[in-house]
Amino acid sequence: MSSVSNDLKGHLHPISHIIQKTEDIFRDLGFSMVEGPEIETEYYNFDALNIPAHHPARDMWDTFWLKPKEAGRLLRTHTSPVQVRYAETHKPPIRIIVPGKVFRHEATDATHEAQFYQLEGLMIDKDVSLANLKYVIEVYLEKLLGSKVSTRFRPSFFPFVEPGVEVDMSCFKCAGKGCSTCKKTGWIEIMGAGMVHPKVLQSMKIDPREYRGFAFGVGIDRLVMLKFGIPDVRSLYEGDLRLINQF
Amino acid sequence: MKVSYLWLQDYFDEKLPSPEKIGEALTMHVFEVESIEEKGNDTIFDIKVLPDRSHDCLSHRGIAQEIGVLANLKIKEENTKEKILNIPESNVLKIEVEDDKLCRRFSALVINNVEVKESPDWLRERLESIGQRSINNIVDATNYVMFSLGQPLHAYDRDLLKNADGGWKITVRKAKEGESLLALDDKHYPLSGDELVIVDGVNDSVLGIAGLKGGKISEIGNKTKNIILEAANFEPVAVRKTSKKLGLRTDASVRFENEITPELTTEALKKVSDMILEIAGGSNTQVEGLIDFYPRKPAPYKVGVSVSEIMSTLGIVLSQDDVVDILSRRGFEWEYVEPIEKILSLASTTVGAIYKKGSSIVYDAPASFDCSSYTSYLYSQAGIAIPRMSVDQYVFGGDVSIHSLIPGDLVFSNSNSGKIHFESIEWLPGTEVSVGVDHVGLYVGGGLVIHANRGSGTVSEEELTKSQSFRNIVGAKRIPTTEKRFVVTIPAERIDLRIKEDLIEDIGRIYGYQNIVPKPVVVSDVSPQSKVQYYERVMIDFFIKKGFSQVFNYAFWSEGDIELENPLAQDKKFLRKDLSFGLSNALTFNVRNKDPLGLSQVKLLEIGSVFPSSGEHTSLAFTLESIKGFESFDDIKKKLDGLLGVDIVFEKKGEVFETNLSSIISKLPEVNKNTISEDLSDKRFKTYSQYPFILRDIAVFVPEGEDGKGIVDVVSDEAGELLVNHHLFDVFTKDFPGGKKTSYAYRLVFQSYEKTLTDDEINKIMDRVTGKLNSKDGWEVR
Repeated sequence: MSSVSNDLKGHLHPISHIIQKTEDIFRDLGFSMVEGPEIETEYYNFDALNIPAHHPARDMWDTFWLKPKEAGRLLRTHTSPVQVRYAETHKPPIRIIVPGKVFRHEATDATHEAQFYQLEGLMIDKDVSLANLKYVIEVYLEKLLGSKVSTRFRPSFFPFVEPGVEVDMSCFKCAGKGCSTCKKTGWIEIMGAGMVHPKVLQSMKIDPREYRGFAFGVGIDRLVMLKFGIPDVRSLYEGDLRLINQF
Repeated sequence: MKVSYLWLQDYFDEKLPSPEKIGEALTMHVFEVESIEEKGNDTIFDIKVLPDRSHDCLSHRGIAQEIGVLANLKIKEENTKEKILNIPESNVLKIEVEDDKLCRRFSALVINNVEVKESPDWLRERLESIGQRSINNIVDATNYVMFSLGQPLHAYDRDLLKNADGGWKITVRKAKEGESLLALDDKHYPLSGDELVIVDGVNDSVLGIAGLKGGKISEIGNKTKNIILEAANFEPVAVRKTSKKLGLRTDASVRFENEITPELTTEALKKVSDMILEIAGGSNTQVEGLIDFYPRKPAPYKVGVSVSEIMSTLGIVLSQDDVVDILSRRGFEWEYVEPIEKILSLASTTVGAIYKKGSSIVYDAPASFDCSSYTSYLYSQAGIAIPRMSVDQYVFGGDVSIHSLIPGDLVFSNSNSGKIHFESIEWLPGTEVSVGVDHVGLYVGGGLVIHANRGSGTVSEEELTKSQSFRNIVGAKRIPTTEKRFVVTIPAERIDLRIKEDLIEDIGRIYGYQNIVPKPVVVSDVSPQSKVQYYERVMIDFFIKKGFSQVFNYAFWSEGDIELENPLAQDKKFLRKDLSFGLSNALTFNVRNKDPLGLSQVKLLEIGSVFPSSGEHTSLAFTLESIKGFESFDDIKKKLDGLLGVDIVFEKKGEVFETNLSSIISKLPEVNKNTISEDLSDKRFKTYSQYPFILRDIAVFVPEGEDGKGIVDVVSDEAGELLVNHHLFDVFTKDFPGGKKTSYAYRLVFQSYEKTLTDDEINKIMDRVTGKLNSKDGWEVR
């Protein structure tokens, strides 16, 4: 039973809670938070990220196109385009995070939404490796989720990184013993990542022989759901204070 | 892709590890195994093969090779030797290909006197195990080979093609407008002219859509006696475009659009013909002959990498022996070279090769070169990738004086004739090269340069100072090559391995990503919060403190200025041009839930992108339930203006007040401060009831001096979890005979997590509550 409500103070949306916390954690790691437009061009969303037209990899992102189709304008399917935009005005070393709304043309259910928030991370420097990526991701998840987290990398494929990995984190609920959150596996699939593909560095006018970098992309909604125990992603966009006022 | 465990076992003499072990190994080292299911005496894996491995692993053999590497098991010999095909050229079949860029290879085999019937049980079971339907022994054999090797095949009933002069002809050409195909799936596919089709070369009728689907016209049936088997290689983009256009996706088209090597075709034909002789053969079955259109055979790619490059990218410690071990397990051909030595020795053997402009490294080297394909070829053979064009090589290399050249350096000139490039085209597009470049050669020492020489028409060695091509030298460049490198000859089917990063990945995943140990990044300075972030958070903070809750609504709306090409629904055709619709709906919705929420005034804030015709920007909007005596828009605006020191202009849309946040922040001064986020450790979602709530007010007189808390305790005892909220809305004290009494009035909110409550249920609870309260000394329910 709720007590007499104290409605003097309002409530931040759970997505904002996670974004603000994320920004604070990464600021301590030397990362700046930047933003970019939600309406993108085909160039920034795909071509510059080594996803050429007519390549089967395009099928990995179901895309909303704007009218007229020939104009090549779309709703960004990830916040990765901001990498390229940022590099147009900034020289390496680069450390940025890009949270933002992204769109996928897909049927919605409890774990899928046509709009959701993604966090992109990018670090470019002279000597950056997958081992640095592992460190940064683990620090982030541990500080965000409030308990020790280890990660494991599995091979995967995203055209803008090479090597590309899928990142699993040890289940923070059961510490890897197996529970309902991790479907008894002890691991939760949490993000895609990898070393920035040399072609993407070239799109950014960065010499891939001099600089390397890592990039990762994580679903903020998914972090929100895991962190707070929210079962249905759609409930985040219903404007319902019965959910929001709990945070 | 569905993969059968028993099918995989066919590739090995030794017993495979258990399906679970294979699933685990594949997931950790190659690609995700999404499910493992027992089916009869077999086990079926569902493997998520992504585009990078769809060239070679949409096949049982591809997967078997990965398992062989991981489990250290040897793949059976006979399966790799099938590439040898000792079949005479066909005397009866001709192939004509209009465009060898779209159809890179077309191999066909003629077999006479086959017996079409049901497949043997083992074949039917194999296909059914991976969800395929058995059709007849011939068609099943072609499908079996496709799922084994990844090469799509097609069988034609030869006698349904038109014969001319005792022979048959198959032509591959672009469709003509107005043509159509009645396909094997009994559907009509109208063709517009962009599609590549297979036609009967004698009467020009369409037999199939290249790489997608065969036609009914030449279907294999019970009466079929003589067949033509096709194994071709079609250009991926063309297949994909046709597939999208016709809305037709087949097992063949998926393989072609991901690109497979043209090297596979004859091997697949050999395998399928062996099968057909076995399962559809009789005493007079005969392989008549083969025809193989293959004008441009690609040379194997060479990709090089050094041990230190592998270590610094993956962040692991690895020895030369580790790399040798992995490459050997992989079965790759490789050498360990000192690059410049390799380049110089190779250069001397290529003198005399033909000069041909536009020569391709993959298809023409080492028979012919142009100037930059020559230098690019030499470096690539030494495991160093340099750009293909001379101007890009110029930008790529490091400057070196023409007077201090060492062997291996590249010398550039501007012949001042033909096409001179003044900027990088592919390497770092747009980088300017003021001197202009159109020729390059390799300095080999002793004042000599070897270059693909247009003048002599060959690769020739000349004295640099005397060469006509180098009269106008514009610079010399050095490619850093300090380390010895592994140079790997990439197997034809591994189209994913083209640059050193690809090779690093292939080595890394076999070595095991689990061996990567986190390595801290050095933080030299903590980055300040951006101005936009700072003010956005300050403003959010302001509204939260004023009692506003932040909502996120959908970006899609039924009207707006920007329309989607492919909306999810008719009422979501547009992008919102402001936040007002969503926010006023949210206000109405939440006002209904005010009581269970325990709010006296609903106040909402939204910050988000909007898309008016004037352009995308971040908008801030708020709305609040209008209640007399409560805070109003004017109060809020005054305080916000005061906080930021500006006069913010809000547009009023119904009950919503909205402003362009991007534009406000741009006018605010720079700051060097950070906001700090809230502690989240105790925040946890609790399910709320989806059922309607019921309200009851209760007012009780109690003797003065006693508080009303006891009232709620009684309600709580009687109602249990059904009492979800309550609040005190009225208190007054009045004189009574016998002393003063205080009246407490509470609003009670009842709601169940399991059902819709009825008035009757609540009335019964309230009756009991009233009874209990009245029984207390001096208490009286009004």
